[in-house]
Amino acid sequence: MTVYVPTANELLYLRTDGQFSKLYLAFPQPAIVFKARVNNPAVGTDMQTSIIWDTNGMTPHGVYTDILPDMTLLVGTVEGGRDLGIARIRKTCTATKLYIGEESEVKLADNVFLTVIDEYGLWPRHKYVKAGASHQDFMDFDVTYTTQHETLDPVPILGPDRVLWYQGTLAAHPGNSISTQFDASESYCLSSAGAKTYLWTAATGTIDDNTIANPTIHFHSTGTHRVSCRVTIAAKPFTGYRTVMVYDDTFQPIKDFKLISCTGDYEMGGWSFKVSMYDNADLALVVDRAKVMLFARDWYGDITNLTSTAISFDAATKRILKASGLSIFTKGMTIKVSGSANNNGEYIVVVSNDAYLTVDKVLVDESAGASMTIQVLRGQTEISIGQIVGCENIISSGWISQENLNMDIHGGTAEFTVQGPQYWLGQMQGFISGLIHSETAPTEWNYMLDLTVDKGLWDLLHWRSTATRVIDCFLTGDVKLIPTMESNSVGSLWEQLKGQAWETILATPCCDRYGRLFIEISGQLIPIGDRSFTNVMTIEAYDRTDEITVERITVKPVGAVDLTGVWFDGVTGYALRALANGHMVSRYGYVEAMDKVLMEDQAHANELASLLYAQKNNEYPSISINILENLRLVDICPTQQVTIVTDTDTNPREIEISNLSFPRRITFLFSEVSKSISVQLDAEPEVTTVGLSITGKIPIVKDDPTDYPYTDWEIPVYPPWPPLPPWPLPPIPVYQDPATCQDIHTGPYYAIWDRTYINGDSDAITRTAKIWFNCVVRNDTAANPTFLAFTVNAVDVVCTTRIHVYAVDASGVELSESNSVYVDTFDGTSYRMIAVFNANTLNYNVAGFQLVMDEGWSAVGPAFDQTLHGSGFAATALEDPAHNCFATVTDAGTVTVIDPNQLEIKWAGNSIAESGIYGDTWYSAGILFNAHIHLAAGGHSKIWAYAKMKLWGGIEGVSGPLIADPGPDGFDMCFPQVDGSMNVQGNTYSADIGEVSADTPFTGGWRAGSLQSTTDNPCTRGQLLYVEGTLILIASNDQPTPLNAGLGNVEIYNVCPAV
Amino acid sequence: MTLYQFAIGLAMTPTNLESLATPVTPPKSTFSPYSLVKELSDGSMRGIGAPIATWHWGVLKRPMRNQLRTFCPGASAEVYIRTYTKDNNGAPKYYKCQMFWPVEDEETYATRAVDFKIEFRQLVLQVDP
Repeated sequence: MTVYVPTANELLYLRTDGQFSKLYLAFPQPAIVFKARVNNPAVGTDMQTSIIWDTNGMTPHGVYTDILPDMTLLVGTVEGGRDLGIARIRKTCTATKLYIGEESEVKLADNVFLTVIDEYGLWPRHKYVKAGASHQDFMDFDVTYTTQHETLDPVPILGPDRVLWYQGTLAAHPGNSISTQFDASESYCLSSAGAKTYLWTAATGTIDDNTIANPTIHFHSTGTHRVSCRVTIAAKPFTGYRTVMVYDDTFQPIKDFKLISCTGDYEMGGWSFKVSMYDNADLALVVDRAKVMLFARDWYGDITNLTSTAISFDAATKRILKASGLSIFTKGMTIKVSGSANNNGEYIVVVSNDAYLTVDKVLVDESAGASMTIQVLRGQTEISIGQIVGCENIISSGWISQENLNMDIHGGTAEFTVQGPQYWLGQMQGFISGLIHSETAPTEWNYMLDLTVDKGLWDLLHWRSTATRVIDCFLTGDVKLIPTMESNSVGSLWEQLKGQAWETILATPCCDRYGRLFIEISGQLIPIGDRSFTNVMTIEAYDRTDEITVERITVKPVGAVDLTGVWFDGVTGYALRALANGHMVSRYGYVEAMDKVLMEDQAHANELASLLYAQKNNEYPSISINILENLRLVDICPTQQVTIVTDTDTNPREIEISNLSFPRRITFLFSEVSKSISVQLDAEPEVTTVGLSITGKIPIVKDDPTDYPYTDWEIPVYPPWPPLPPWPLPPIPVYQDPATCQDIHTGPYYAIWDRTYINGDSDAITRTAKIWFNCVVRNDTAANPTFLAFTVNAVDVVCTTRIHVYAVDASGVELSESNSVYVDTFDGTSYRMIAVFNANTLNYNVAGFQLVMDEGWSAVGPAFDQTLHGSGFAATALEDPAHNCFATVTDAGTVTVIDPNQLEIKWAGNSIAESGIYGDTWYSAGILFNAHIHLAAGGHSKIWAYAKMKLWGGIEGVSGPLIADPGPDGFDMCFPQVDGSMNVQGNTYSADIGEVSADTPFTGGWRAGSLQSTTDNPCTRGQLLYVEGTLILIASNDQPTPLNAGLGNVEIYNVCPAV
Repeated sequence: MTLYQFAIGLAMTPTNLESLATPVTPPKSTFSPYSLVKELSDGSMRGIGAPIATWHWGVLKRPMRNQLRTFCPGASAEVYIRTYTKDNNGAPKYYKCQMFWPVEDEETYATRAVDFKIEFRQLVLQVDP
C-alpha cells in the first residue's frame, strides 16, 4: 500500500483562487435478490440459525441459488419489509432453508416476508462452542475446523466503494457508459506468497478482462452496482464485494442537506460525519443504519498556462500567435500575458484556434523571441484531488449510527451521524478471542500454525466478522512468532483488535476516510533508522490561514519506561527487559510499565523503550493549523507525514518546531457562504531524537523474605542466570517489610488472572494462570489469614479438586501452596473457590499468586472409546444376620451413555436394596459399579477416573407409606414418623486409578448408605434408592481438546499490598 | 437592437434580457470573483468560493418581474446567464449558476417591484457559445 503524493499540477490547483465544491450524499439501494416467506408455524426467535421458506402465494422473485453468503436478509410483515429485523446469510441456502448468522433479535414468525438484498455489511460472526465436556469449537455456528489455520483464506484488497458521475444522460444513447478501474493487486494471503488469480464480476456492468488484477469496468446505467472479485492464492479463494454508485444529469444523488461536521481522529480510530437533511430523508430511502457516501464535485482555479519563446503579437488582427498549442485557451477565458515587452496585460479570448488567439483588446506588434507566459485567470476547472485514483471525489463514507429529529411546523430536519468501520466493529460484541501457536498443522480452531500477530488479527477480522469481505484490511507486516494471541477481556471486536495489536507489538488500528482498515505501528515507534515515511506535501505559509496553535510540554508526563517482553522462537520464550531513560526515574512523571511485548532481541527492546519514552514526552505533542484549501490528500492513516513550514510565524518564546508531523486529527469545514472546503489539521511532530535506554535486569527474589526490601540493584556481577521464566514477566517488585504488616482484615483487592482459562493439558503454559500482586501474605495461623476468592467455570466440581494455588515470588517460583482450596459456593454456573495459605513464617512477601491445574484435566477426545458394561452393576445389601436385615436387588439398573465422545456417563437404577424390619440398629445397602476403559491406539498416558453418586432413601413409618424424599444430596435427613435418620458414610465415592496405558477394567468400590432407627419398631422398614450417579474420566497429555476452565476475577483478602 | 449583454436562460445559449418574450430592462449588476477573501499566513490573500453576481433594479415592472420568475419558480434554480465581470473593463461572460429568488418581501409600488435584487451564486464559467 502506497501513500499518494500530489503532482506539481495538483499542488497548483490546491493553491488557486476560487475553489468551491458541491456536496452530495449517495445512499446505495441494493437490488432485491430473492423473496420468500417463512414456512414454519413452530418457528422460534431465540438462537435461530436457519429459516424454512416457501413462496406461499407470492410472485416468485429470484431463485435461492442466487443467494450468496454474507448477503443481507430483511424480515418484515410486508413484502420487502424489514420491520421484524435484519440478518446475515451465513452460507449457501437450499430449496427449503435459508441459513442465517445465529440470531435472537429477528422476530421470526410463520408466513412473515423474507427479502434477500444484494448488500454486504459489517457483521459479527459468532464462535460456537458445543456444550459438553469436549467443548468442540465451530465458527459461524457450524464451520468445523479442517485446515483453516494452516492454509489461510486470502484477503481481497479491492479498494473503496466508488461514486461515478456521468456528464449527460447515460441512457440517452446505448453507447453511453462511464467506467472505473479497480485494482486488487495488493490482495494477500498470510500463509502463502504464491501467485494470485482474480475473477471479477459485475452483473450490471461490463469488464474488459475479468481475470487481471486491475480491470476497467464500464457501466451503462445509473443506480447501485455491485462489483466482486474472487481472489485465489494457494488454491484458497475468497470473494470481496464493493459498491459502485452511478449518477448522471437525470439521476442525481441527495443534495438537500447541510454538512455539520466531518472529522477523522487517529485516537478514535477513524472518521465520522454528521449531516442535517431537510428533504429526501424518508425511511424508505434512508433506512436505519444505511450505508452513506459523502462525496463532492470540486472546482479549483484554472491553472492552464503556456510559456514559450515562439509567441508573437499582431496588432492588426488582435491576434496572439504561435505555430501550435494555443487552443488550450478557449473562448471566453480571461488570460494574462507576462514576459512581453509591449503586451503584458489581461485579455479575453474572443476566438480560439490552435495557431492563434483573437483577443478583445488592442495589441502592439511584437515578434517572437522573448520567453513569454500566457496563463488563465479566474477560470475554474472541475477536478477532484484525493488519495485513491477513482475515489478522489469521496470525502468520507460509513453507516448511519445516530439520528436526531428536529420536528417543527416547517417540515423539520433530520440529523444523521455516519461512522466508519471502527465504530461499527466497536459496537459488535465478540466472543473472547484466543489463539495458540502451533509448530505443526493444527487440528482445531484454537491453534494457528506459525502464529504471528497478523495471523491473530486476521483471525478476528476474517472469522469473527465479515470485515475482510467488505473493506480493505491492511495488517502490520510483522512476522515475529508469538506463543499466544488472546484478548485480555471480553469486549467489542474493535476493543479486542486494539488490545491485541497494542499489547503485542504496539500497533494501532485505524480506518481512513474511505473505510479502509490499517493496523500499523505508530511512526513514532518505528526505529529511527528504519523510518521511511511518505511526505504527502509541504504545507507552506500560503497554504494556511489564521494562527498556528502548538502545545508545549515542559513537565515530562512519563518519568520512565519499563518495558518487558519476550522473544519467541516457536518453542521457547526468552525474557527481555529494557529501561528508558536508564535506571533512574526522571524527576517528574510516572513509570510507564509495559509487559508481554513481542520483541526481536535485546537491542530492539532497548530501542523500543527509548522510542516509547521519547513519544510519551514529546515536547510538542500537537500542532494545529488551518489550511485554506480543499485538501483531501492527507489522512490520519495509513502512516504519512506532512511538512509544516513555520518560517514566517513567530512567537514570543522564539521557539522553533520540527516540521515533519503525523496527521492525527483532520476536520473538513464546509462554508455554506462560499461553498468551499477548508481543513483543520492537528498533527503530531515527529520525534527524531531518543534518549538513553538500557538493558533491564530480570528481577529475582531471595530465599529469605526478611531480606526485603533488597537494595542491591547495582550488584555488578550476577550469578549465572537460572532458566528464565516463561512469559509473562512480572512487574518490578516493590516489597514491604513483613513485620509492619498488621494482622487486620483488609481487602478485597481485585485482580485479574493473566489468562482467561486454564486447562489440564500437557502444556505448562495453559495449565498456569498468574496474577502479579506484590504484598505480604499471612498464613492461616494469623487472626486474619490471607485468602483468595476466585471463580472457576468448570465442567464439574470434581475438577476443582485438581486446582492448586500458590504464592509466588517475582521469578514465578512457588513460595507456598495453599493448604486449603475449596469450593465456597456454586451459583449453577461457576464455582467460587477459596484458597488459604500456610508457610513457616507468619508473614512473608509474595510477588503474586498462581493457579496450577494438574496435568490431566483434559477432556477425552473423539478418538477415545469407553463403555460401561451392562452387567457392571451389582447390588448387594450388607446384611446383618443378627438383626435379620436383608436386601433384595430389585433392579440392576440401566446404563445411559450421554455422549460416547464425552467423559460423562450417567446411569440410573431403581431400588436396589430393601432392608429389614428392625429398628434401633444400623443397616446398610450399597452398590458396586464396574467400568471398562478402552484405549484407542496411541492412547493416553494418564487417565484418572472419578465416580460420584447420590443415594436416596427413606424409612417407612409404622403405618404410613414409604417416605421417599430424596433430599438434596445423600441421606442427610430424618423422618419424623419414626424418629429415624440416616447416617451417611459419605455421599460421594471417588477413586483414582492413576496411569492407564492399556485397556483396563475399572472396578469401583462399594458405595454404601446406612440407616438407623432410633426406636425399636419391628414395623419399620427402610429402603435405599439409588437413582443416579456420574462417572467422570479425566485423561491427559495428548488430548486434542483440552478442557478449559474459565477463570473469573480474583478477590484478595487480608494482605498488606506493596506500596 | 439590444443595449446591453445581460442574458438568462435554462440552456447554454441564454437570451438577452431585452429580447425575452417580455423584454426586461437591463439591471445594475455587481460581480464578485469569489464568495469571500481570507488572509493567508504569508500575508497574501486567497479568494474562496465561486463568483457571485447580482442584478438589481430600482424599479421593475410587474410583467418583467413575472418574466424573470419563469426561470426560477422556486427559491432557487440552475440557470445560465451572461453578466458583466470585473475583468477587462467588465467584459460580459457566460456562467452556469444557481439563481436565488429574493426571500425578502418584495417592495411593490402599484404595478412595479421596487428595489428588486436577484443573486446568482456558484458561477461556473462557460465557454462562449
